[in-house]
Amino acid sequence: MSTEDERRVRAAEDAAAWLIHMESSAMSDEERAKFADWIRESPMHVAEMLRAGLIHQALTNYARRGLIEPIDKASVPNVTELTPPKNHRRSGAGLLSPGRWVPLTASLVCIAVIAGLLLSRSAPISVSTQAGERRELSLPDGSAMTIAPNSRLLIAFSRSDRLILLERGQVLFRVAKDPKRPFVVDTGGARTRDVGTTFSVERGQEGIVVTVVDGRVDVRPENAGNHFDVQGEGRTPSVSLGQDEQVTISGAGMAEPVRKVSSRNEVSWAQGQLVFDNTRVSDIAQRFNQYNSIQIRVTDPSLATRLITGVFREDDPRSFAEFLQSEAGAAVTLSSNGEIVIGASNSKILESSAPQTTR
Amino acid sequence: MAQTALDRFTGWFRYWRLPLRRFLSERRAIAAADIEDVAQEVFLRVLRYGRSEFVENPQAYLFRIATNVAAEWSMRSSRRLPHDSNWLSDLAAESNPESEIDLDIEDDQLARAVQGLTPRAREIIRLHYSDGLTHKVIAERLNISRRIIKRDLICAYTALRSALGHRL
Repeated sequence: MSTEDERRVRAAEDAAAWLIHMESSAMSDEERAKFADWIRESPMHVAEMLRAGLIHQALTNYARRGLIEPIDKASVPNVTELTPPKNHRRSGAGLLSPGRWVPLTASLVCIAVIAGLLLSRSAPISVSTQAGERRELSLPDGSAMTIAPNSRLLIAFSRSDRLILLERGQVLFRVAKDPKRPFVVDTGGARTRDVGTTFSVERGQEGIVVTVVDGRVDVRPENAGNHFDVQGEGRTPSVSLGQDEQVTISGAGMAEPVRKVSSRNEVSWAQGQLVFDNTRVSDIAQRFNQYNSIQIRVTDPSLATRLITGVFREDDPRSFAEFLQSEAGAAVTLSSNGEIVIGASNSKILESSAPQTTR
Repeated sequence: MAQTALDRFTGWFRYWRLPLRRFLSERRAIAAADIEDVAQEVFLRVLRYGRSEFVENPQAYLFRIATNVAAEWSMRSSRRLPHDSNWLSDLAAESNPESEIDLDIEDDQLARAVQGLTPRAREIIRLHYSDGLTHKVIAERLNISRRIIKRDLICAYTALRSALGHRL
């Protein structure tokens, strides 16, 4: 998906959100001002707002002709499953409270509901995201996932278990409690088992990283060739992770010692933020590159190893480049192919000690 | 300034529903492919307004400006479309705001798109657009939060937007 298409999709979502909002309640002065500024931002916003008006009329016409059958709960057993999970546990900081997920004017992440997964494992559903695309998905058991850009996974639920196969990327899981059906995330080199908690699993080049936000999960490293066996107990000892704990499983299937982390920072990407605490510039650049089509290239080796602390918007690699320009005196240029090239500074690099925040 | 519920209702209606309906009836004369050009023109006129003026009532201004642009557009193309009696539908929109405005979207196309939505989203659409229930009432009836209703509706809009893309 090109950047233009992404902008279009976002504009369409924003337009729908505005129309639905103004239709369901009177707008406050502040909201009117926000809406006005949003419209004044781009002709694309105007076009999508006009189209939202057309969709509104089309839906009204369609519904008023009585063309939508009333829901028959008996014939649609999944309907009950689609109500919000009551026994979700949430992090104390409120980071993951659903109320924060849908700010009206910020980018709206559409929730797709996957139904019909309960009956068999014969048809796993494949979900993937592109660079810069973050998706939320709610599952028929009431669990929810936030999928980071550049991820790919398979969802295979059955009566006895809930299995996710993470092929690449990172997913934040909020698992609805169901002790009879364990929730298992299989990442090839490790299997994370859980009955109702919030945790994130990342499968990248350096291995598998599991972070627990809330609750407790078991991570079992696996050597290649292990059998697919969700319920069984493996020979490899499993690692038990509690709140704010993280473990990395190396490519060879070895578990590193459990680390204490700020899970809030670790899963900040789910809210469109990237939080770095003494992280190397090269690692930050890699993170931005994973999430955006605009790529960052750091050409200066000494700058690449510099440690940075700060908060950035994940969809704004430029702000990071500008930060390095102003704080480290880095030379930032735009290459002809749209890359942001960050090179050696002309002057000596200044040591910045205070944590910096960019929004 | 205190507003009664009725004031608020007529307020919304006057401030965006009617302007939207006028725009929709004008819009019939515009080919779907032209909507981007119309939007360009609307955008320029919005900027000409100045922010403080536009902020007063952006919803109404937006659709009113769009109506004007669409009317000019259809006048310009009226030589090519001699029988397009958009003045008639305009009149209908004025005199009977509850009447349907035909959007030239095929029912089966729309039907397919609506069928692709989740059962819950369809139920929300039925209760809201056909039965006229408010989000609050629907939330109570389906035992879900109003936020979920909004979210489902936004998803429905974006799904229809992509399904009907070239027709809008």
